[in-house]
Amino acid sequence: MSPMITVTNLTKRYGDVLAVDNVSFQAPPGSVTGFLGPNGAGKSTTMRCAVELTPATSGEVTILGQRYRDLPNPAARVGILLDASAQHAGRTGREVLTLGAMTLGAPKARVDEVLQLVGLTPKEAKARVGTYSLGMRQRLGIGHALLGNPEVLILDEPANGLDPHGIHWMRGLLRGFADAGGTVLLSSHLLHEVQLIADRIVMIGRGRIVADGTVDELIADHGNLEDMFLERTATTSREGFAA
Amino acid sequence: MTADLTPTHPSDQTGTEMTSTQPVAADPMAHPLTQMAARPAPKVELLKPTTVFDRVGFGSLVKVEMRKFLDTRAGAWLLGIGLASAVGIALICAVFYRQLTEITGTSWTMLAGFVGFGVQLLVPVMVILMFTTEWTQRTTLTTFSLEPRRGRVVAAKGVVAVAVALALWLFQYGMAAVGSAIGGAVHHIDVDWSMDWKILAGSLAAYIMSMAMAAGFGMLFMNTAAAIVTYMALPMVVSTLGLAGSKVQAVLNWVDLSTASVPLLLGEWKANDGWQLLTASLIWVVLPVVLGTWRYLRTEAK
Repeated sequence: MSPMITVTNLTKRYGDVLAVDNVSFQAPPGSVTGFLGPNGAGKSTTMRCAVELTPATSGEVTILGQRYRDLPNPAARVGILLDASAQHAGRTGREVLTLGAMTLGAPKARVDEVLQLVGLTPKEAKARVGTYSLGMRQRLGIGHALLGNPEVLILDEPANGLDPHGIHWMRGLLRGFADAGGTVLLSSHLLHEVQLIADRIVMIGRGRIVADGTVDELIADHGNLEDMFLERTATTSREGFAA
Repeated sequence: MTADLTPTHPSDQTGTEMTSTQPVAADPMAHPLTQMAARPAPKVELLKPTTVFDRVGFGSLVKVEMRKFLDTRAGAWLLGIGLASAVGIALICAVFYRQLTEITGTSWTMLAGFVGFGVQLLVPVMVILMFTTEWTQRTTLTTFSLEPRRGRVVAAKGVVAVAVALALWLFQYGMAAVGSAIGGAVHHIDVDWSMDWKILAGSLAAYIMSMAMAAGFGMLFMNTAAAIVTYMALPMVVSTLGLAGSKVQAVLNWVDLSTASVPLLLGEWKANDGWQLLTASLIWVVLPVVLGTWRYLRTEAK
């Protein structure tokens, strides 16, 4: 199975700071790849580079064999949620989805299907996003990512702000998506959450990959993921957060 | 817990495993999400497949940007107030039509300048918002994910700005005609209905220029307050410099867009007027649009 997301020697430099340092990894289809690392490790920057919101300094990312911008209707094939808070507070949830559906070319009825799938009630959908909790915004964002029936999902910290029911729901959703052949790349700093949901782990610390393998492999080596995370990212975690 | 969840490809998944769990359609060609409910363990609702465009068309980008222009409370209020002010001013002009025509003459186009006052003040603000709120509300993450070729997004917003300029120009002259008709009828004054194409075309050009200038400032600053203040205040500051003396004013004639646009609105052109309009619009319109577009296309969306 050829990988659906391929990151090759990706580097992103901000002045003197190397936010992403020669990162390479792959996310195969039919699985959830957890992208783990401390805050500021370069997870979000890598994901933004993947969809070219952030220009890479060097290296490249291909999704479904192409650069993101070369896909003719990219967001219909790659569902993206990079920051659930990044929505216009004055638009309603339904309006946000409608704008997405109009751009992708999905029919109006799709908006209702998606709302139902992510568990936003008609009343909530009519409310402005400014009134939403972070958990509701995450649901809306996941719904937006699913509008075009994508083959690949790229989600940055989608569990943030979700309550236990929400996390359970999302775990089932992503598990089902991957088991049906979809590719999921999901970042988190919540080890336990990732351990439950992911098949594979890519761990990043201070811009560099520090571990890459199946959850079983990584656990076999280290007993549990937390020990490994603390060990591998100890020297690379941010100043002041070092263990 | 992950050990038993071996990743499977859709093509591997259509056999006995699926059909034995639930009688859900196990079409091998069906999209992943449609098959989600087929697995017993995670309870996931069914999401049907959907039709999507083969590619994102420019027309749909324009439609979406037009909708975004109008679908927030700020946009609706600004446009509503602008349009209401035009209607209100047209009626006031009709009431005082006799006094007005004693100053301005009876040409129906003379009313347009009054009628458009509110619209011309508020709608550039909407155009600025169209470009700045993407950054202040961080919707660039969505907008540029849906269409990573940002130049097309900027072009779609530009089409919206020009379309809005055209619509408002029509509305402004429409209300000028209504006001003149009512005023003329009430006060028994013969309105001069002749079409002065020079003025009509000139005012349309001025409209489009002010929308382009607003777009340029919005893109250049990517910040609503800075863009609006600069758009409103900087031209006034420059005009005021003319008070410093006739030598300064002689230079300003080539720089100040508000004075340079006057021939457009009056339809009377003297020597140098065209060149002065050209240099002033290069400074206030072309330069901000070029620099702003460059910045809009390159800035990291985060």
